[in-house]
Amino acid sequence: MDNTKRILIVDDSDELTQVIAEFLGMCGYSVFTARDGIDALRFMEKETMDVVVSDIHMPRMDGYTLMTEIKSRHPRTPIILITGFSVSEAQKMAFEKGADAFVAKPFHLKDLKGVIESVMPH
Amino acid sequence: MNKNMLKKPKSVLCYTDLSKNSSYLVRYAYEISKMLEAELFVLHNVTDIKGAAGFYVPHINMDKLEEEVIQAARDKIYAICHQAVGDSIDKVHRIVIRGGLIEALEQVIRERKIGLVIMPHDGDKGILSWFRGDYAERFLRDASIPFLVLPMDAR
Repeated sequence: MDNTKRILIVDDSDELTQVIAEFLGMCGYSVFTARDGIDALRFMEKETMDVVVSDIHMPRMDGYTLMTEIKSRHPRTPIILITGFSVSEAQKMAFEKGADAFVAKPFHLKDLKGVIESVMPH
Repeated sequence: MNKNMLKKPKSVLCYTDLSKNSSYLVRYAYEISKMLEAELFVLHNVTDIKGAAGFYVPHINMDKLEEEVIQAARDKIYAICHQAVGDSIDKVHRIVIRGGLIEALEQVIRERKIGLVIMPHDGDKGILSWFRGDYAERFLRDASIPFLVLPMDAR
């Protein structure tokens, strides 16, 4: 049985999702990407994820709404929110709304990996 | 070079996607190289995201992130080679290039005078999935050196 942990990266920046996916792929994770919350939810109807990493500011559905939807449908899936806008307010709101972790942009990929590991179910 | 001419390669290139069975691939390439008394290079390419897209990503320094990816690739390729054959493949022979797969292969084949390329079979998708697009297909069709594709599930 394949025990590879599965991570979904949700961000409307293809460049950023690609670079994160490439890095986490090298770290041994199976990485999937979605361009916004709606794509992410559609994807998660079919696939189970171990961790979701989502940007907050995205078109169509923002990260907070996505998190609320995921928490109602997949309550055991940890969610990490990331943003570079109004970081302290965003962090406060992220935790109030139930985020498992928060990462401020800019970040180092190694730090992001560390946060992912800290919330990853064993 | 005449395609039909049998020529013993002096240099072998092993391309790895750094996936979990890559040490098996490197070990195999190492044994082949020893049999041929050829020099072995191990290659991985890292996508040149910024160069390919050129977009500005708010709050993010893509150069720094790409440097992190390249360093991670260097660390990973070292770990794979070390697991496969100990310290037999030194830094000079472990190559990480930023860019597309075809460009990376072309560059190393040209610069290192490679005579044989060893690649992993790309799962169910087959080897052609590595070579998408007209340019890539032409590269494979017109190749003057042999490509050896190793089925990774045969391990």
